Amino acid sequence: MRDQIISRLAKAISGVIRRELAVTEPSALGELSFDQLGLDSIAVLSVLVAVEDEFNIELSDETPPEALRSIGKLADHLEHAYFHAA
Amino acid sequence: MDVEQLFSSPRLSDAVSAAIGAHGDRPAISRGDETWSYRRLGAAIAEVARALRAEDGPILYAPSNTPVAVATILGAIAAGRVPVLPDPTWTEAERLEVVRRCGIRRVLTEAPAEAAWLANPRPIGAVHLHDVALPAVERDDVVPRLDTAFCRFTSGTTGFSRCLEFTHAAALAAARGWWRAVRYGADDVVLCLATLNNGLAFNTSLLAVLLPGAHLVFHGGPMIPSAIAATSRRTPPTAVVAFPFVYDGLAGGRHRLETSRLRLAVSSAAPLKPETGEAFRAHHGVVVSNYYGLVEAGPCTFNDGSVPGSVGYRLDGVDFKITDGGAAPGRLCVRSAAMASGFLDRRGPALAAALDDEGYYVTNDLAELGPGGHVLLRGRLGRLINIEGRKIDPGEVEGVIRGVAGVTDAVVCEETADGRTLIAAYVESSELASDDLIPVFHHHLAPYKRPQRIRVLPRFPRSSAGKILFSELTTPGVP
Repeated sequence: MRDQIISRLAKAISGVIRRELAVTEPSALGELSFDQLGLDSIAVLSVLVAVEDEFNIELSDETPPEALRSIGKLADHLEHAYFHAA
Repeated sequence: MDVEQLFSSPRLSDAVSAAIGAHGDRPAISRGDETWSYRRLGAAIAEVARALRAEDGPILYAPSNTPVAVATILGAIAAGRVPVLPDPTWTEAERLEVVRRCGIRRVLTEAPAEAAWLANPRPIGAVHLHDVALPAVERDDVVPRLDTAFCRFTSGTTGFSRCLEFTHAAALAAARGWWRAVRYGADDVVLCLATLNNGLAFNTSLLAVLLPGAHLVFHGGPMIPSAIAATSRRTPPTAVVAFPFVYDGLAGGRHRLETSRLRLAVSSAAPLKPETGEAFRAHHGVVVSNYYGLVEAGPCTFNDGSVPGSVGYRLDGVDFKITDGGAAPGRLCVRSAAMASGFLDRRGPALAAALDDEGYYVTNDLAELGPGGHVLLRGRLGRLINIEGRKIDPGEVEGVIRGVAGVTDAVVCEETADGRTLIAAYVESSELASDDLIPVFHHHLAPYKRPQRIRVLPRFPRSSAGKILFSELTTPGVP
């Protein structure tokens, strides 16, 4: 499940940064911080909006700040908060 | 209770105490599911003040947008300890530089801190107080003026953010001017989406909200439309205070603020795109009031939207004049009762150097005064880069780059990509690659100050006089 989420996150992020993410292995992608991707705090917000569209969810106003640090952390949060029951 | 009279209190803490006494069990501050009454806020302020009275000031504290942060700031002020309020995203290196320049003796943090220069941690309510473990010789011997209540930062143009001192009277004057324009009352709910260290939040959403007994609501989640809309549904606001990029997100799309009680939407710190203002009005039915303010002089205008293209008319306590030979536009000069009293550092130039003979602060903004004294901004002198309300001094970033071994020169400037402003760094070095600079940026610069575009050249194009040919430097394709 986590790998699937990461792959879909990569798709959403690619739309924001307008280039394909070079690393295709989900575990390696998960290690990438938004900082390393050159995303400033405003660009991260654009990523979150794209994530909402990609997964057809609304991110809660209680989304923890740690979830906004890296692809892996965001994937963990999404899996736990939105897809755990599935 | 006469709210007007509260704003004339001799000390900020007296005014806050009177409001707390008057509004007791009414909601004062919320974030998420947590709401503090005025009584609880008063108890938390008193606890912080009691603990800090025996300490030395000034105290560095990077506040979050929480009830605890408000209590910590107001408690430190009540104790006379002068909270110094940097941007919470600053790196350890940036905070350490402030400690050195501003004579900081203590540091408050919201989570346990592990920096080597912080010692002897002890809890104060929900925050942690630390001593600064630096030899005195490494710290400038600076003390705040006797009447200073707190300090905030300007991005400056001197290569480093500078720390401005504000008196109790200045803080109350800033809030009074704003309150007279917006007239918050006890039934108002102000949703503050700007960060508390920024004047947009500090001047419009703290004393101007708490003294009349209104309810301040912070947003706890990510600053995206769906989450903000959820916060607004939890406690429907009568006013929203936010940076322009937040309005960009809220202006269209599928998420709507709860607007059943909304009467005011406030923006500042960066230009609001006209199309954003229009789309927000169409989507939410409220005009965004985009006002003009300065860190040095507080909020200066209130914008009722009556003059298209203006940033509003002057607030009570603010005077404007336009200089530079009477030509229009000219340089905007501001004098206000909310003016900072000086810099808490001695590395010059002094704030007085930016004032003219009549005490007006000479800004770098070009402006005209339109109908009814409305201010019409026409451009800006100088080099500051404005990224979504955060001002970045290119000189500071250039200074960091020039400090790297192997770099012979650096130019930092603003560029755009896909309609967004970004920071570009041109680096002269025959030894380094752009990747070598990234860890340096991470160590020395807060995320919002880090260049997103880095170009390393073995040699900058220069004129015969040795001056950098800027237009050639920034032209794509130049080798």
